[in-house]
Amino acid sequence: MLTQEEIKVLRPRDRDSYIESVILDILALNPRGITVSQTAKHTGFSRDTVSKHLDRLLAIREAYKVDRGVGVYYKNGKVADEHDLKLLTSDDKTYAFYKLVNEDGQFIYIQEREIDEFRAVKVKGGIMIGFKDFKPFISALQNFGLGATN
Amino acid sequence: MAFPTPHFAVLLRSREEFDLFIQMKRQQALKRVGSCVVRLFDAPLMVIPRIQELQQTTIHGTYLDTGFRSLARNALVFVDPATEYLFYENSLQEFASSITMPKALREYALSCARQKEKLPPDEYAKWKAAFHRKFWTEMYEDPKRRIQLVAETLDLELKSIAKVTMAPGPLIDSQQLFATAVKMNDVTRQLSRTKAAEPSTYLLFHKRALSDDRLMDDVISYIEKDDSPLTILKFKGLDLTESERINEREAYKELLLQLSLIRQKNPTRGFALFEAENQTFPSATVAFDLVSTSYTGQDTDVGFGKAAPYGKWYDPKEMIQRDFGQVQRLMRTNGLLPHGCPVCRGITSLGAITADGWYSDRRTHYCFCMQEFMEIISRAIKENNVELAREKIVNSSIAVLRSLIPRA
Repeated sequence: MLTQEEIKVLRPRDRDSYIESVILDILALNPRGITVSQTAKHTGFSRDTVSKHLDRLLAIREAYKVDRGVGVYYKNGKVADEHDLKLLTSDDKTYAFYKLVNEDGQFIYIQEREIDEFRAVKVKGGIMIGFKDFKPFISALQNFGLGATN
Repeated sequence: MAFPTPHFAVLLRSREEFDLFIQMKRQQALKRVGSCVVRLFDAPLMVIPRIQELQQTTIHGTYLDTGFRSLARNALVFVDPATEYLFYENSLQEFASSITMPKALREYALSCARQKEKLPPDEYAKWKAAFHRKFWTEMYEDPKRRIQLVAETLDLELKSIAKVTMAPGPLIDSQQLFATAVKMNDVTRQLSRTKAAEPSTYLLFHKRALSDDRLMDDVISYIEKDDSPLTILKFKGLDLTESERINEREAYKELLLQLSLIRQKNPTRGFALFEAENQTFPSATVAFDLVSTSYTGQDTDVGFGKAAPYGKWYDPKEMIQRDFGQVQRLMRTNGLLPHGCPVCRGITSLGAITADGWYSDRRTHYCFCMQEFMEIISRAIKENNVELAREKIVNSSIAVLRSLIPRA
């Protein structure tokens, strides 16, 4: 890990993505979940910094939160399979598909990624669909998509 | 990114070589010559101006299939910070040639240029040696300077389609500079975490580093503990065929052995050797998954290039360079160039060949030689018959390097 001194002097865009990658590693190392305080203690980042990044990770479904009074955060699941979809219209945008397993069951996780001019990978968004809901989800999407593109 | 091992990467040192490599990749099937190395200071002229090609589309909205696009998508491209040129005068001023270069490197080159004008040559040499140490000591001690240099270097590497990130670091010839290199690598790997490229560990050595037993022990022990998937080494200007290099040959043999043991223990580890020169073949046989030399196999920096119109031809049997006069004599004796690659088969008369034709032919021929060498090594490894590779060296003019390959 970088030292606190080094993190302080990082450019803002490097700092944000670095901190997020460290928090993701911490989540992955703690399958039973971890709180904001524990994450702050392990990393040396302030509680505010950790909260801000965990909120973003929640928004893009890289993490999920279970409220047990203190709010425990989990990595979205263990990856059972993955696949990348490169788009025909852009080299810099990809969708990554994951099969995830966590204590709530099995999920399909679709992540929207963009690569910026410095080839930094930015996760712009994500959606998780439970295995049980997958078929109805796809048929709804197909109907909706066909309606929109016809 | 996966590549067949052993593998050969070409160091491209000019726009002409870059264009030739792209053309060669389109026209020739060279499975084991799929990668290239571009020096950081060459990237703003060689690669960056072509980036817009990646966005060119046809009238149907699909991407235009340019050679550059195919290279960017399919080839393993390394952008080598090449910071040894902060130490050597050759190419030093290239660091000041573009505003896209990291600020610290640009300022370093400009300071040297100013002092060179002011001081007599011997005083300038002393000043420069001290300035070089001071520069890297500051990098070691000052997190702000360190982070800024690494971040700006990574920006330029990644903009130049690098698939592997490489740390800027000192030319190692002491424990202190090794510690600095380790620190620069740590920071580079950390900052590469969220980038669309694989991280590596890159150690750049002065050739005298091999004679320092304690330093080499520390290096091996560091590499063993390091968890980087790819470790890239470069021994600047090392030619182990020189007769007086007995101790260095022994030390290099030990290094190869240690690296092969590390890989045996952990098969996911990969090793690459840049500017491998005459060590290319034995190094790929014993320990390195990827080896690289310049497009002609002559890694030594020279003040001329295309200006020497009829450069040397690589003799794959003798594993040495032959000058144009010798090649003409060979041709007169045999009627053909003594090599079966499509380039050599296509040359029926050297009298008619133009300087430009020879420029590209001898480079493409060299890549065919490397393709053959990598195939020989691959077969030797597959058949568990190291003698196959050893024999190749024993029957060449660099037979002195046979000791680098342990007997079965």
